[in-house]
Amino acid sequence: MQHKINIFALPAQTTVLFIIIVTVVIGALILGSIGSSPVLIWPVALLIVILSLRSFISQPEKKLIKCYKADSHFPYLKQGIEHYSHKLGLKYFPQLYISSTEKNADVYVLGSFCRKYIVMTEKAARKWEKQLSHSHEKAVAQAGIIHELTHLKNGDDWKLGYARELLRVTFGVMLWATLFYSGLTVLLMVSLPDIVNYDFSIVSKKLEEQMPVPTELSDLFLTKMDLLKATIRNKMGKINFKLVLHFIVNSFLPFISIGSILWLFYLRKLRRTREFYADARVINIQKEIKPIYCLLSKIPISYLKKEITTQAFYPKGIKQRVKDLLHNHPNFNRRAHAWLHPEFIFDDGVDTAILIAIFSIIMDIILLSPFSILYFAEIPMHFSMLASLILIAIRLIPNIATGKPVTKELFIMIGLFTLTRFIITFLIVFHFVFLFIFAPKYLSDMLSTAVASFARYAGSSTKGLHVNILEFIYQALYYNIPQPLIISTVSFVCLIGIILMMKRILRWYNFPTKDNNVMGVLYLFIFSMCLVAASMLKVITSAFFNTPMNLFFWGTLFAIAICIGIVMLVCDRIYVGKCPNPKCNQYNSGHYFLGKICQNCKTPFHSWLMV
Amino acid sequence: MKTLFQFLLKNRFSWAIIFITITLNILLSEKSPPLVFVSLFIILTLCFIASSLYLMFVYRAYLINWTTFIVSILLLYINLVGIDFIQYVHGIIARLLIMFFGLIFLGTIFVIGNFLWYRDKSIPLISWSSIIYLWLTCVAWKIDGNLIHHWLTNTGKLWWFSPLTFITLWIFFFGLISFIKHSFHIISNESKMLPNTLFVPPENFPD
Repeated sequence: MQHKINIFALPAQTTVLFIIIVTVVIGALILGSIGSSPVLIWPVALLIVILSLRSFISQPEKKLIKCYKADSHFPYLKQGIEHYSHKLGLKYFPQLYISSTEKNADVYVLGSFCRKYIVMTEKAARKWEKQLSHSHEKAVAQAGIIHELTHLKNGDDWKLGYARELLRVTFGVMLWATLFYSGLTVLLMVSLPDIVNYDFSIVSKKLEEQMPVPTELSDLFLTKMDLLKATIRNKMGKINFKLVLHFIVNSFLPFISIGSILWLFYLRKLRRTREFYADARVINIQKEIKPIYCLLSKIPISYLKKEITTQAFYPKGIKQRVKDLLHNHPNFNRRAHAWLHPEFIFDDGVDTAILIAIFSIIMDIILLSPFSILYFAEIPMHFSMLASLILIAIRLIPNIATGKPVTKELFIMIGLFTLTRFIITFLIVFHFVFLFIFAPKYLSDMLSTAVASFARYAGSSTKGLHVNILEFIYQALYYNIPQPLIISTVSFVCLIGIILMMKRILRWYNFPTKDNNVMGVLYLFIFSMCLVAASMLKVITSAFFNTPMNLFFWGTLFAIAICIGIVMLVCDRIYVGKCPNPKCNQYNSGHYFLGKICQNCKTPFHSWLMV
Repeated sequence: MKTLFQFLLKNRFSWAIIFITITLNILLSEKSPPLVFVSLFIILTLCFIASSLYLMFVYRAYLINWTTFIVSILLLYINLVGIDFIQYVHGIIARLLIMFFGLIFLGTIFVIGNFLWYRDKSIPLISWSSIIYLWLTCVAWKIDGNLIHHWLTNTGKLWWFSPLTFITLWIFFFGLISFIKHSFHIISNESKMLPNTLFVPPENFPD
């Protein structure tokens, strides 16, 4: 018997995508807010957090303007929604709204934290109401109801809603911040010379003409003004406003570009992935594929005589991959394929590598912008690599759980990812070499400005730093070209270690598996491995012993990881290979695979991983 | 715009008050008008303003649209620019202009406040007006020199700058109130699991 994997027991792809989108934007903003900078960044970060939340809470009703509440209409439909809401255990019951326009999809869900809505066009609502009143077509409409309610159950409405609003608000606020801070800087450039040279005794005389002012008060006013002018003159001498403008543009505008990338690829990916999970829940509840097939293909259920079958491998060309990458909805064939083979919900190696490469580029744009370059200047590629490593490790969990070979997938992912990184690094370095040969003066000026304005002291530096371009080119070649290869090799070795350990953890058959505790252990393990990787790198850089705080912080992280390691070692001794049946407790050798049973008592191992 | 026009046409009461007030103004242009005329003029002027504001308040739902809002901002701007020129006019015209500008001022401020009270548009308004104001201040400083000096000594030559400051301050004031009001409304409805009741513009103007 062929066992099917329970995708709900594995890491939810939608949650991973949501975390990526939110972490990239909010994480970068928090990083940017730490420490001093020529312009205040924390108000911008605060504004984005507040406005995105506010916008997210208020957005469902903005989309319900041309809809009306289905009060007494569609009784069967409302009854169905109520029934399946109970069955799925929804915390907040959705309200049914009927859309009077046909612009959007036939049926969709909207929601904030506590308010949930199902919106349908009149045509779709009538069709489903009719189907629900006919016994042979009932299952099709029920499949539709379960599908939409699953979106609410999985939190797709708030994940997608918040991610969308966050990106929208980030785009608006960053554009505003660029224009506002640039305007403020230009105003200071224009006004400060006039203010410091202004003779305030004119004002004093003008006031005296209008009303009698005591001489002491007038003198005090003039003294205070002179003091203020001296302070402004002193501070102004240290500020290079052109560099401040450079800092503003290079700090805020990258957010618009990364927001666009996240919107273009990751938000769409989130939209596509949630559909697979909703479909899987429908099949899980209805125990058949026909209703969902008829719902999506719009074929009447009575016309469908044969059993639905698909091949075990879903072919994908480059054209199809690019098409899939930009679509909001998954391809029907791929969707139908995943109904019979749930493991196809998870992307293959190539798709994962493309998404991780895009993610890595986004991280580089952010980490190498003036926002955070100060913290990552010594190790620019490390953090994007670390984040990519986590993503690859999470992606490999389904393969390990199903007992599929992972080496090929791993090679594809690391290989494609390294290639992308290498191409980008090569293009940047080539650009420098090209300028060095044909326009050395321009390169020198560009580097001087970049070095001076990209650092946090941009505002207080009067001149750009002088850069020896020959030395710079040499260092750029020496440090950057081998970096992708070295880091990728290290990651590969690290991932091999993670895979072996994950395989070992999956052999803890005797571990108290109420729901899926083993999965929690896997996440904890990946997390601790990354802590080790992060702290190890800090140790080898010279900056480690700079301050006691640094030593304490990274030392604590390292200590936590070591503690987790020791606890896991003890658990391994207790649980590895032992049958979960208390009467048997037989030791079973060999790796875990889906459907593996105890050699002695035939108890299935990790039954929560199977449908 | 059509609604606004209909609103003005349909209220004959307002037109009657306008007519009587203007007539009284002409009569008042004599050097020593009788006290009855003066009293009647004050009462009718107050009635005129009060009735206009009352009617605007009653039909406020028809004034909550972008067209009315933008027209109001432009009217307020023209009004504020115009007020500067009243000092060059004397007699009956000056009195009529003061009344006219005063009424427009109150009406437009009412429309702006009303719009922001009912519609959650404070964020785009505050953000864009702040940027426009900041950059126009740069331009003004470049053209007119030290603006602080002009402000303190009242010697500014730019006729368009003071009204702009005034309008920006009004937008900031109403925008802030609107932002707090709508935020409170949104959070309160979320906690009560109620839908956020949004403003829906009425379709037909009542007879």
